[in-house]
Amino acid sequence: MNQSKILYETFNARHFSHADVAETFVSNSDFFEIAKNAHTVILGPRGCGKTTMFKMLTTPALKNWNPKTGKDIELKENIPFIAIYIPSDELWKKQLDSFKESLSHNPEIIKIISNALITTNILSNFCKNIKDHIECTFEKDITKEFEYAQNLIKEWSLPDAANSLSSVRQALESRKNSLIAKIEKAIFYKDQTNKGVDFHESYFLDYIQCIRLACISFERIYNNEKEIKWALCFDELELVSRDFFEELIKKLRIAPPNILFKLSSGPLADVSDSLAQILHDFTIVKMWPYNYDQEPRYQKFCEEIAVQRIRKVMESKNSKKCEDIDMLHIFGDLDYNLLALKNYDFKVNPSAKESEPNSLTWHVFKKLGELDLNFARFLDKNGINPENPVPRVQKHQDTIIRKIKEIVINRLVFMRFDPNNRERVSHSSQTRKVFPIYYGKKTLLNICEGNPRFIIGMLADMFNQVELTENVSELKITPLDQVKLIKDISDRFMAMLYTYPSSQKINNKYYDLEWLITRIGEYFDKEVNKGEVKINPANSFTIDEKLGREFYEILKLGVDLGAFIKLDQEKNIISKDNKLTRYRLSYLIAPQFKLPLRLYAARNLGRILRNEPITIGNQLKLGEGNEN
Amino acid sequence: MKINYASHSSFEKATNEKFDFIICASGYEKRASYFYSRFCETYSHPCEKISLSFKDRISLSRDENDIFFKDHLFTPIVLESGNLKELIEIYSEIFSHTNDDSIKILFDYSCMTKVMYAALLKYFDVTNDLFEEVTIYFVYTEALFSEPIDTNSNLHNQPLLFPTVELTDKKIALIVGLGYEKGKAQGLIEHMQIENPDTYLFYTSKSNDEQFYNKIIENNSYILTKIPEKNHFQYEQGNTTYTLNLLESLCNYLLSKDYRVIIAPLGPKLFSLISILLYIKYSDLTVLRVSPGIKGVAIERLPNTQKSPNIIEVNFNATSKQQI
Repeated sequence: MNQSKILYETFNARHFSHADVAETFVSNSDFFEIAKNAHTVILGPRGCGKTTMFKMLTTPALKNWNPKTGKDIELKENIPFIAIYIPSDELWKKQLDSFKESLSHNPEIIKIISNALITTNILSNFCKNIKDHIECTFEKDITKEFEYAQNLIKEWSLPDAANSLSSVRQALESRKNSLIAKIEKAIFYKDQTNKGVDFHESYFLDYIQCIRLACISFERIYNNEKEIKWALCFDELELVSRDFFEELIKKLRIAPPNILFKLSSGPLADVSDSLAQILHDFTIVKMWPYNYDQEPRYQKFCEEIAVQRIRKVMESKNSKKCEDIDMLHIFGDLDYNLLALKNYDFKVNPSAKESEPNSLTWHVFKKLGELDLNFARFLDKNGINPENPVPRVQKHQDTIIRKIKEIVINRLVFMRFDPNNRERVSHSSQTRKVFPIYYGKKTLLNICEGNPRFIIGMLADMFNQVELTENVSELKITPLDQVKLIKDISDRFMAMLYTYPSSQKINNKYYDLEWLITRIGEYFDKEVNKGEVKINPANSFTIDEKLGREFYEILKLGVDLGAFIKLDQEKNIISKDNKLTRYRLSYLIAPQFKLPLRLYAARNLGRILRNEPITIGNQLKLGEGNEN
Repeated sequence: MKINYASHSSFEKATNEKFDFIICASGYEKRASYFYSRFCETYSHPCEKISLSFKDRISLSRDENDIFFKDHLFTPIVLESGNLKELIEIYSEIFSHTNDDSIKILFDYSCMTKVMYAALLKYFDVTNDLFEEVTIYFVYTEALFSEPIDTNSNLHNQPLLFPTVELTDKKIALIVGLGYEKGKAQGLIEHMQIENPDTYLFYTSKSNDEQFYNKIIENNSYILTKIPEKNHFQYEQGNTTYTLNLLESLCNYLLSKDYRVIIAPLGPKLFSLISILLYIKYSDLTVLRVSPGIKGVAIERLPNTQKSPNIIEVNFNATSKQQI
């Protein structure tokens, strides 16, 4: 991958060649879990690397992979199955949804044609994958390929014209085209009775059965009839209909033992509770920091990816090896104290201990007490004099001062206070465009949420915008450049979210993801930055069983896209669990609402969305909920 | 019927035609009635006149336009501007009563939604037995420049017409007709997860409207940097034939390379119309409708009276092979 490609890339692994995916692949513990000889459910938001993992299981990618560790080498040499990658994507979803909508007057045709299209798609992808596998594994043998193609023609009810795997794919394409013609016929001639739309036997094929037969043929022709393990990797099931997902899970029960299923979906798997139970028997891999303990693991993963990318660019620029890349050296570390010093001319006594008069903390607390009546009240209430904020008892140092210091500096940095009305606060105009707290190695890794696409996108922007030095030891990205990068990537993320048609119409009013993010973000902004000061303000939320379907759909989309981060207490929770699960705004969205990258308390969503009809059953009932 | 040809035409040529139908939109913009107010000064051939007006967003200049069209003896039809099925039924109702084998239609789409003119083209595309020949003059009046408003979240992001379905073992290429709203094109590219080298940008050239051009460049600066320059194409609104050929060549090339091809017209309506014409010709293209729909804010747009209306003549023929 040359440097110019890196500069242009957005990195969506789906359409990258196997060689490109393999060249930049960084393995982690998730990959080894997914590569195990077991059924696996992989959950994670968009961009978390599910597709990369799946593609890396395929033969051409493994062949192109240059493993770094002994464990990598062992996996490459002993992968226990042949992986078949079956993608979905936004276009596929939109096209299927659109044809279903067009034929909404005829549910019977929808069912038959949907099934036929999905089967054709799966078989075409199987064909593509098996062709790649054969080319990577065996010497070219036209006779064997002919024999195999003939078998597929017979088993998949294709017209008897194909003599190679490419021709089989062409025949499947023709089958798809004839299906489209039937859709048009059904739409424009309003064929209510299905008269005139003939249903060929191939419309009713079962894709698992078709694949099983194709596997048996392959084993006979290419493997001396010895059984092989296969892994069907169904990617992005969050984009397919719930019906298909559930159907697939049911098929798991009856699939032959040599066929494994690897299913990937968004963090909130859209299946009924009874079917979700089946998935609990499988290996579950969650590819996002789904609780606090997971954050360091994902930060390390992102750091490895970042180091690899920086090395590649620096080496291509300088044509020399570049071993020691230190993210801390390049990006520095966020220091909240420095932020406070920068904005106010405090006369700090460097020898004063924390909270002693004239220490930085003392100055910060005193200043906010002067500007913000809410904070002065908070100090008063806790027995601390706002004019001389020295804790009277030692325990206040730990329970109040240290706990709230970050929030205090956050308020000082971001807020503008009305000198005539100390209760009136608004966002500072200076900080409206630049987000000064969002820089430094840890912040960058946090903001990426363990998501390789974010870190890769951020670095690609950085390589474009910042003049790279000759020597990596001189490479430093200023905090200002970093906050600009973060702002750009945060803005673009928001633009992507708003492109989704997420609207739900309730009581003649439209609710969508933009609305939900804004309402929640503004609520958290008020909790953290404005109004009454709290040691543990809310910046996450819970949902309960009363949440209406429409609002749940918006929330689920937000979770799938990474706008909301689902925080589970247990690894095996795969769908919603109202008691144990909470949600926070992605750290990538935090800058939009001037929020610190830290998890505080949770509120019920009903309370946050007070006065909106979010509850189930009675749409006129307004949002409610207890503090959690 | 199949499209026989599509070519650039002129105001003068249109005034010399004998139309069977004149169809305009009575929208909320002042420019909705501008073209006909000029056209009727020189055109007097009797024909059936219809004004299509929206059920929603009855604001700004809508009342004035309703009165104008009523005064000029247009028959009003009120409809949902985004309901494809309803629109095709309306067009069917309008045209199926005529006894002529050959009809000519003047269709002012300046203030119409994409669905309204897409439905008209689709109607004639699938209508096989009513006419020998149909000629449609698509008329567009440019608006004076006005600043873009903040992008609303989209109500629609789906195939514009009855779709094709493409198998997922092919790569996707996205052709974006850039508009001047900040973040809209960028959001779409990231939403569809298209690689930058597989994304192609079409935007109007500086000579067309400098202010509009500058705003396109400003509000799409990120993607204009990220998408390789060889994938940038500029066009002039007045040179329809060139734009049509350019877009068709690119689509042909991408289809031959086994791509699934999406066209997302986010900018000028002319580009949307051309995209739809190509969709009618190549059934394996997908044209996306990306829009806030009725959630969008109604904005007044005044006609640019210094410019001649842009007119494209589209001819459908019952027997011809498609040529465009």
